[in-house]
Amino acid sequence: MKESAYNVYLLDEKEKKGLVFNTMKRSIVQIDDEVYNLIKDNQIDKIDQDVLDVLTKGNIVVDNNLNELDILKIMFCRIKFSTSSIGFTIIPTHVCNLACTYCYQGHGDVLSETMSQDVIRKTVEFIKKSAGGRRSLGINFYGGEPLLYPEVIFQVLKEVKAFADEHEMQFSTTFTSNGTLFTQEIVDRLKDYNYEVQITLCGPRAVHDTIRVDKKGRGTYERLMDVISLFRENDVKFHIRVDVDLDNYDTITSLLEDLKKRGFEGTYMGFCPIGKDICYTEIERESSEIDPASLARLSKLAHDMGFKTNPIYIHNFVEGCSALIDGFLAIDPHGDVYKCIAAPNYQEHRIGTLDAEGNLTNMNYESYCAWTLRDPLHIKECRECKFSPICGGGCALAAYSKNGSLLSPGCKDEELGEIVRTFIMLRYPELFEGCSYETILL
Amino acid sequence: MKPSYYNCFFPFKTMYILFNSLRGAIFVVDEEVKTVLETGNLEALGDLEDGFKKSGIIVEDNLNEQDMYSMTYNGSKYNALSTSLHVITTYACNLSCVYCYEGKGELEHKVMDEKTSNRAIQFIKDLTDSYNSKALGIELFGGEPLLNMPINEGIVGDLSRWCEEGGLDFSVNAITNGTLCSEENVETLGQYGCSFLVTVDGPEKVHDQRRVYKNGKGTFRDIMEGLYRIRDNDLGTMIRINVDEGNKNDIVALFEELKGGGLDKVIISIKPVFNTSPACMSYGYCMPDVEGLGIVNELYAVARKMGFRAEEPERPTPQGACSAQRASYFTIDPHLRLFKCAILPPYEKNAVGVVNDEGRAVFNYVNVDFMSRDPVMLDECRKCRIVPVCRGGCPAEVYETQGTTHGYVCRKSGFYKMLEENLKRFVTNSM
Repeated sequence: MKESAYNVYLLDEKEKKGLVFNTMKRSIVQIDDEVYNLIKDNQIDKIDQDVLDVLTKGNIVVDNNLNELDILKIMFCRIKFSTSSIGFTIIPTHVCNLACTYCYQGHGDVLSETMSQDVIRKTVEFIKKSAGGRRSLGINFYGGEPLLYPEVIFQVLKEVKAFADEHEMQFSTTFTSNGTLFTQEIVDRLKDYNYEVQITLCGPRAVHDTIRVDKKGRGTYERLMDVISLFRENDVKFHIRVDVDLDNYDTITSLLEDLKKRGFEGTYMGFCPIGKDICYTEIERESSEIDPASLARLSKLAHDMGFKTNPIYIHNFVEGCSALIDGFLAIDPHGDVYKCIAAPNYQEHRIGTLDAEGNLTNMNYESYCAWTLRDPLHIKECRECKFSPICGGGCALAAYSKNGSLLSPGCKDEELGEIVRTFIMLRYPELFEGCSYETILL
Repeated sequence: MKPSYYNCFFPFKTMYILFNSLRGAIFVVDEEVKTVLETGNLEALGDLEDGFKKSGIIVEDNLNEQDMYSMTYNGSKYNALSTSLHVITTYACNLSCVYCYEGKGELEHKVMDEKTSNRAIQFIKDLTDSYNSKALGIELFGGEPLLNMPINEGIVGDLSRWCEEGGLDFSVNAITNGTLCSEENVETLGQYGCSFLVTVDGPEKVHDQRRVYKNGKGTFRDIMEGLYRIRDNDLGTMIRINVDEGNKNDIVALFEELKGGGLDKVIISIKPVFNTSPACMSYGYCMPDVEGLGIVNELYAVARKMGFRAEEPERPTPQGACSAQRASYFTIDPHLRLFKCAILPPYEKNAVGVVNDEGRAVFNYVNVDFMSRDPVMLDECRKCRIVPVCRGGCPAEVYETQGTTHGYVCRKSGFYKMLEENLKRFVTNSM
């Protein structure tokens, strides 16, 4: 047996105890100093059989013949090439009714096209042609603000849902929306479309209303509170994304308190860092990026206050980045097709364009291959990184912006160790009794 | 634009057949076009440019076609719209064929019982569910599977009902030596639409020297009786013919006999006997590479001409990964061991995992080795212009001979010859 290349050790010097987390298998095993030293000194055969069995089951130690990079390859190919479902992000418009101060898209003023009838028709045909044989079909509406053009949305939904029903595919749809335009009428019209909405908040009213503002500078907080009430009254599935940087970090507690006071506890809250990696405009806000450990503490706080949440949001986590998946494509208002929803401002990432019959033509194969094949196996640094199985090479577009190549890591240096430490400490507090965050060493 | 790396030219009368092995496109071109494509001076293509562009004869300058093939190949492994398995319900066999790679049911004779078959059924359902497949295909295999009819029926009946309830397509095929196709057995499996694959190695005289009962008696007459029963029950039949040095000249006579006997609706499947399994390496009649592939090809052509359907398509086509590398494919045996190809049991070292007492599959590194194979990562194959049709050879054969699938078996000269003949035949027939 040999030590897995994907072990992350967390050791408490004071208490002389520790544990090992395997990023490939996502297993956690408690170990003591002795076992740790035997693993590290390559004396695995001296470990007690009982302990060894547990370590083996968790893939902490693996067969000598096993090439773990091969497993990594299989894991990513499986995610990438799964054929059971297919998903499309449709950008009906780049226009937005808000002017959030940190918008990476330049609030719909840099790109400002809206889908024509012609492009809507092509898009629907393309979806029908691509989805044949799949068991489930998902549509995400993104923007700009998609609800500025509800007729585009309902036209697409009507036709695609009918197609899915006819072919016995499960159908679902999601909206990445600022939330301000949801009304009772929209909710009523959407009721047959198995949908979920994500809306975004940036802090309590006083803070949110200086950041997420309309074109005239007016805040949107109270409007969004009405929308949340509307969702709850109508049993609409929704979750709240909270964008966080150093400036609004300290105010998030009062946001949570206010939501709770309004009776919105139980709502799913996801905390995301405001980053500048993929901005293609100068943002009007001096923002300093929040560290992952602090972000994780917000999840813990939300959890303790009775909200639903994940212990941590890892930026472009393996399961989170849809651009990894071959059966996922984004269509912009021109009918241009991309692998990444944030890429339409980069012509070099366009992988093709839809023709009148809804076929993907004028392919840029270089871009298509680069996006589709991208995984940690193709990136030198990631091949040697023990966090690859959870990080997946990080955000491809961020990597491109930073390094000029998709085949480079999109992560932030030492960040992942911190994420894993926080993740485990928050999720399994009982494993760390008597220890503090600071005494646990990676 | 640039000419595709995968363009292959074969002389054809005064012209050339242009075959693109990555995309499968076939054109007949003259010397001039060939020169243009070989020199890359594409402005001279004129009207041809559009068609060549659409079919991948010329490609974008920045397209790395090896990457493109890698994507197709790896993608096909996880195309799990259907789940399929060979289920070995018994290793026992009533025959003693001279070339048996499984050791004639003597090396290994375990039989699936109700307990193990129930666990196998659970594993198959879980596998199908885990890939959200729309179809399930079962191949009953052995040994001689018809020696274990109660278990066959249990498995097929259970899975067929399960598929019906879940709205999945179900299909079943029995791979049998054909000696046990009694009215009862054929009817039992026939309820589920079962088709049959029966091996016949030549006309009576030839067949009976190879495929014999344990007492040495020939099986030809009994098999023919079985084939008629299957036909009379309106069930599909494929005749598998294993061709080697010893019977290659007798196969046409078999075709004539099948046709004369009213078995002209069967599908013909011809396999050259190569040295692929340790159990058959002692058999002295295996085909040399080039000749083996050539003979198979010629025999298919004759069969088609005589009105039979052939298992292999006439048109050469690029292929993704074979079933051995498909995530939703396994062979499962009476020990509940899992293999990635039906030619790999009964050998323990070839097993990729086992279904444990809780009905869960536990895999070993051999599974990783099979699933991660990618011919494009092998220098020789990456350079090869026909790798999309050859795929670097049979992974099981590579594994048997090299201890890992991350290698290749190259029969390039035979393959080129076969490709050339197939293309000429295809082009001639479509003209």
